[in-house]
Amino acid sequence: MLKAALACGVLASIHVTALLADFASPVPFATQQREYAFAPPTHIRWFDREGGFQLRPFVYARVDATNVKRYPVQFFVHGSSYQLGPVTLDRHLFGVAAPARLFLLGTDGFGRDQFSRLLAGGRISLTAGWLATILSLSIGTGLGALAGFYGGWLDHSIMRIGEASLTLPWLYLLLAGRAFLPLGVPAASAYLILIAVVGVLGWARPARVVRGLTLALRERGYVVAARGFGATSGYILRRHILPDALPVLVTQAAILVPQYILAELTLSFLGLGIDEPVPSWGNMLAAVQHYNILVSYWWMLVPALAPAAVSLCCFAIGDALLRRRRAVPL
Amino acid sequence: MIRFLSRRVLHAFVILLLISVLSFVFFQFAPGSYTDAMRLDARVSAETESAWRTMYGLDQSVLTKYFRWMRSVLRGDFGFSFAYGIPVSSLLWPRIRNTLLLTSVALLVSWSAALGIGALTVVRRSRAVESVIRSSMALLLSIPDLLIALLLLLFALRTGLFPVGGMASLGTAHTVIAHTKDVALHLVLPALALALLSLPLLVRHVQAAVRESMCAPFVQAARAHGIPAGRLWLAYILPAAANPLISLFGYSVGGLLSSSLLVEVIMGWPGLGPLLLESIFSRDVHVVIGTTVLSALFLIAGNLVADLLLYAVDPRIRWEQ
Amino acid sequence: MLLETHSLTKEYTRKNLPSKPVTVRALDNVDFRIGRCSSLALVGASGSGKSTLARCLGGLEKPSGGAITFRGTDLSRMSSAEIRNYKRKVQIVFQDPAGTINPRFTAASAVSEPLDITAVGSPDERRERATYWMEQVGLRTALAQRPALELSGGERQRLAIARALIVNPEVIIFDESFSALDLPVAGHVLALLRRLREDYGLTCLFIGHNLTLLARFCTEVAVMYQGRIVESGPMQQFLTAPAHPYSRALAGAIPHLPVEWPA
Repeated sequence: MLKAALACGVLASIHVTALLADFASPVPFATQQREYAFAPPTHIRWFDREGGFQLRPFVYARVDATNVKRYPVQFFVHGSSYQLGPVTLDRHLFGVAAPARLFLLGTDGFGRDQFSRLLAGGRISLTAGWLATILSLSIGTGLGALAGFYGGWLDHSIMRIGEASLTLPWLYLLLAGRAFLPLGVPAASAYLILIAVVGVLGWARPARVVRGLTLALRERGYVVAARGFGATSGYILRRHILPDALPVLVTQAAILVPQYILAELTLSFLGLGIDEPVPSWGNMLAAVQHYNILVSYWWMLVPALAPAAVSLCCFAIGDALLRRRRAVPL
Repeated sequence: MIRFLSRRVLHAFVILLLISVLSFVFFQFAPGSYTDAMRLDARVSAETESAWRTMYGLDQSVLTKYFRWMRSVLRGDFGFSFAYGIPVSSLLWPRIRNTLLLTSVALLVSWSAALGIGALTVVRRSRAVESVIRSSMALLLSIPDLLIALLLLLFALRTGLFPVGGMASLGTAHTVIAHTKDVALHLVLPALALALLSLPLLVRHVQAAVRESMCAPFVQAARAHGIPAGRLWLAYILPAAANPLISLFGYSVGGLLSSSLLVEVIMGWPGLGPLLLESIFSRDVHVVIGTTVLSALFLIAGNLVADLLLYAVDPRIRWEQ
Repeated sequence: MLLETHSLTKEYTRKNLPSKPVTVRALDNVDFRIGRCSSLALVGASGSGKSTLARCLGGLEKPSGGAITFRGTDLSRMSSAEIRNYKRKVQIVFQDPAGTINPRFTAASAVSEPLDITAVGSPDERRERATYWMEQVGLRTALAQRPALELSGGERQRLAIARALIVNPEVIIFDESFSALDLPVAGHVLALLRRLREDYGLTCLFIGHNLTLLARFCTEVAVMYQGRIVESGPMQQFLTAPAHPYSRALAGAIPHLPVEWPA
């Protein structure tokens, strides 16, 4: 239980940080500082060149030995302005005074701060994962309940199509699905297309689960009785079937969210997802397809650790949910 | 047995047909076509383009297209690749061979490793071993497939221990032996990546299966009878654990193919994956459909093999027939 | 006659691919009638088709042959509005106490569900009627807000009976509903039903394989055996002179009870 609570906490803080990306990142994600192309993560120091200890961590502006001016790391600094809901702010969580730069995770080939891009990309990748999950679960619940409830040819055809989509390996299915839709579109449409493809193609597994549940519940006395009282199918779904399906759907979500975030990662990596200049965890990684970048600039790989953290948390939560479902028989 | 098999094959056939129909219908609505790139080329006139469209039947109805494609499938061509100008099958065969080589080696490696690790944790019952394996598997499961493949690639690039990219070096393959050795060296990295990717799920299931069969009443009874440990494992525990594992085998083929696509693209292994990606970008419809249907065929074949194995191993299924 | 069946037949076909489908005949030309205000016990061994008959009468299953008439109107000729009305007037209370009430519902909301579905009256009125009927079947009103999950099998069974009564039905079919109740509670509910029969003309059809309780309450009896009705008539006559061999076995199995039921 403790592990699951911890996982929930970490997951929540990842989401909050991504949500407040503009505030938490020192520079806007699109800002190109070309003289700092492929700058490594800035070294934050406690000891100066003379070996003296400093209470405030600081950075040097340039790594040559002549420049000994210290630039301490400051918090809640003024910087470029951004919109947070209705208000315009210019405070940033941390930063250093110019001409020094603070790149927590280095920069990419265009001198864009990787840390800022990681946070902004998180916003894209996380929401894509969640929205696609919601889409999958709604379609899956709808079709699964329909199939389980009415049975007959409807059940048969829904389940056959589901089976056909499960017969394809996931990534092949994803690529084939993506192939039907336009390529090289603006970022906003690409984002929606990504969510639609991932969400729609993942309907079959939740549909199976919900169908099984509906089939079992359909014969329960209280459902038969409610039907006897003239209840519509909508009423029975809403009052009797969905409340039972909810815990199952939550457990499914714990599996689907990381899977869909990885789907975004993979599709954008392959150039079929979200395109530049909008960052996402996937397209930030696309640069390392060049061997020389992979070998020379290790920090370009760091964006892949963010989805790993999300997955780890989701798996822990999913495990805990499963164990609790087994413990409470209903 | 024959009836069992024929029913499964028939079922698989229906599913494949359904997939092909669905992909055709969806492609009908897909924006863009192969000729889009042509239009950008100033040398290609509008007449040339439309003549080209007529030649390849791009302007016909979806039904006609489907039946033309079906006829070509029956001929063994699987349609025609616009980008390469050759029948799709002649594109697909070498790629299938490469993907199969990669996945079967990875399958072998990952299953041996999973069986070893799974049995080890259950038998040794050492807390330290178990927790190390459990946490490393959890880590392996959560790290994106991409990153694992990239890290292995980075390792190879830094150390230079293994050749990187493609499946053979130019100019080394003078003899059969040299060629085989060269391909094997190229195979190490992608196969390792693929095996690592599929390992955590396999280990988890092997552990569960072995643990469950060890707790089965008849195993407990056999142990109470004083049957020696070796015989207990070979005659009681493993056969009982084999059943769910064989089902898992069929299931794992799908995951393996998915991961294989990614590994092939990252490591430059000339399998089905890079072909699919490339054909998507060039809107080479028949290649996309051919590759997709083929990947489904692989998965179905994997499940069929699992079914046959189950049939051979489990007496209960035979009785049911 | 209130409710009648005319050579009612129900067959179940199970597809058994690739072999031939298997057909089971659960009801075989059943002719059956219940008059208004009567209380009839339908008895028979498990699998004799009692529950199937109940489900057909309750409109939950379509017969394969024959007809069911309610006040002389054929069920298969009714419009969907008439069917809805019929389903309200003929209530079934099922056998399984765990499945008959959704464990997530509170006791009161489970009882008022039929009213909620048809949206009769205001929510407060519905709640009030639910508690009224809960009291009538002998459930403390303190239970009203408790989730059904926490109630015992007998309590849930009484909730199901209250739920059937809340819609003012003309016929209630009890499909083995009393197996889960202990004797004093069953006696209490039977006394309530007797009162309702006298006051409102409620018709009761009890289905069971145990005549111990029903012998004293029901005025008529019908015996089912392998999908047919083999004997029917007044209870008194059945108890003294059962005709069919199976009936003789049933009538002989009733223990003599010295206690009188509370009126």
